[in-house]
Amino acid sequence: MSSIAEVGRMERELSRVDRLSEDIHFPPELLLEILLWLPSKTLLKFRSVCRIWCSFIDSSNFISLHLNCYNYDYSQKSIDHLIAIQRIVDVGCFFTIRSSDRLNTVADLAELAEPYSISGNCNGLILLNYGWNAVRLWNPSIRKSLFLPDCPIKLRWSRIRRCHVTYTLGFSRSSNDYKVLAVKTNLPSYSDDKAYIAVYSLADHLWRVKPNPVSVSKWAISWLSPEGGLVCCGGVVYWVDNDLHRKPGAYMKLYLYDFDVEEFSVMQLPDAVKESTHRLIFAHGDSLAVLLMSSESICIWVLKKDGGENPWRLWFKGEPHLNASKLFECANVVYCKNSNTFLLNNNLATMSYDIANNQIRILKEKDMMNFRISFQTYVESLVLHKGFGETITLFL
Amino acid sequence: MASTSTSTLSRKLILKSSDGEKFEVDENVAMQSQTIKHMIEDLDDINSPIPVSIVTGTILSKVIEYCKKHATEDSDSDEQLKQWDKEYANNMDLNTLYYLLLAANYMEIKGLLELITQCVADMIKGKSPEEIRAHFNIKNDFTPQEEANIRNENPWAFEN
Repeated sequence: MSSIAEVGRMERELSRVDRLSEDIHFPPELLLEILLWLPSKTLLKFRSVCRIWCSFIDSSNFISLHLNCYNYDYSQKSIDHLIAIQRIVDVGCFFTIRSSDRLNTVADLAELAEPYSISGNCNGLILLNYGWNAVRLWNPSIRKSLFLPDCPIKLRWSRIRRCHVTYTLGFSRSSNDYKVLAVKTNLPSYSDDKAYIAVYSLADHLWRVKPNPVSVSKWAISWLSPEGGLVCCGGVVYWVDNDLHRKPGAYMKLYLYDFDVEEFSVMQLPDAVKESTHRLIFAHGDSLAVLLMSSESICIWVLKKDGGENPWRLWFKGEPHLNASKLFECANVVYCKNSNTFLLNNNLATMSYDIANNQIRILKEKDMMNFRISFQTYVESLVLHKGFGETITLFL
Repeated sequence: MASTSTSTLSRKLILKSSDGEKFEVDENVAMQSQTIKHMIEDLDDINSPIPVSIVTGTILSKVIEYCKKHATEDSDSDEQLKQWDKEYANNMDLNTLYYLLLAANYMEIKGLLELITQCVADMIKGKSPEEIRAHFNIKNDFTPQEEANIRNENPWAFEN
């Protein structure tokens, strides 16, 4: 047996070369642990290392583990990334990945002739929507996209528009499946309280129409707005009732659609909502959070996963910035978890608001009149990587 | 982590490495290893050395350094601890890192395992498949045609 000094000398010698000494045998479970911390692009590249690596990376078990580890547990990662959508009138739109601290472009993603907009973002899978009926799923981190089949409750062409369809994306944990919820409502001028529902499942690539319509007013469905208003996290999509004509004393409620059971429900916001002047819901990792601002304080409450009697946990409390109330009127707000800042976007500029240090910084002034930019959280994921054959298109 | 009762706090354990080196450590330091935790439960005599059979003294001392730091977590903020972790991992050479990884896996120390795997992932991220094979002593078992097919599925992933 070699002495400690000898082992030490051997170790030092081996370390000079950039490869593992041949006597280290690597158990497969350790390989898996390492691969979990790699971005999607690197994983697609490393599929060509050998058969074991390739089958590891392609397995559905790895794909869901990777999504959670890389995006929510990776402690060495310091900067969030965002997807920027720039829409130019009569030209179309293009997508880039930006760093959240300075909005530098990290990578160019895609350029489309049609002015697509994002109507859902769940675990890195993005729901793109153009016109009345063109709906596609897109995973920007692997550059792949899938058109959904025709929605059975889609809008038909007619001279007079009577109704509206909202699409939103979610994830069902129990069936490990991505789903799209389509809600068709009549325009407010046609006083009709019925909303028709259809749900698409990615696992079988099919739409299913729900047999009975639901009540628009009961679930505040008329206030569903795809941009900003809908927050998807942890298998549920949330929205609040933004009815401006709400009676005094009637406090805002939180509405949700659970993709596991495919049902609507409603719950209370934290009691502090009564004193608040501004409210905003956002995804805090894979939990829902609500920001409540009053003249004295700015608080963030996080919805606990196990629920119970008191489902809201106070996560942050601080002094509000004097200009903060104006900021939260922005159409596009993104929370960046790693830096604990909000990215706010209005017609004039893109700003960051660091709530812990009470600092507002202008990141970028708008430079063109016909130039609209908005942001979404970017997530690394391998969803859509395997199993859709010819229907998948590379989308660069 | 915080479930330390005062009676067990001062107990000492002796860990013995594969090459016979002995280390005396506080019980709460050693208990971060799930493997040792389970061993203690079955142990009649707490004073006899606990064998950590596949880990050498050099590596075990590094494991203990990590466990000591993380056993006294109340003295540092999360931020400071993160910084310490980073420096700890960055000071390792490649082979020490892998031996440490094997040790963390065998001893079931979740935090250390995550730290080292993340550090290795950062190291190999920019490498080509050829470099990875050389790095991990992996034999390419694809036919040239199969390898070309995999590349053609996602050609953009092979660009820098």
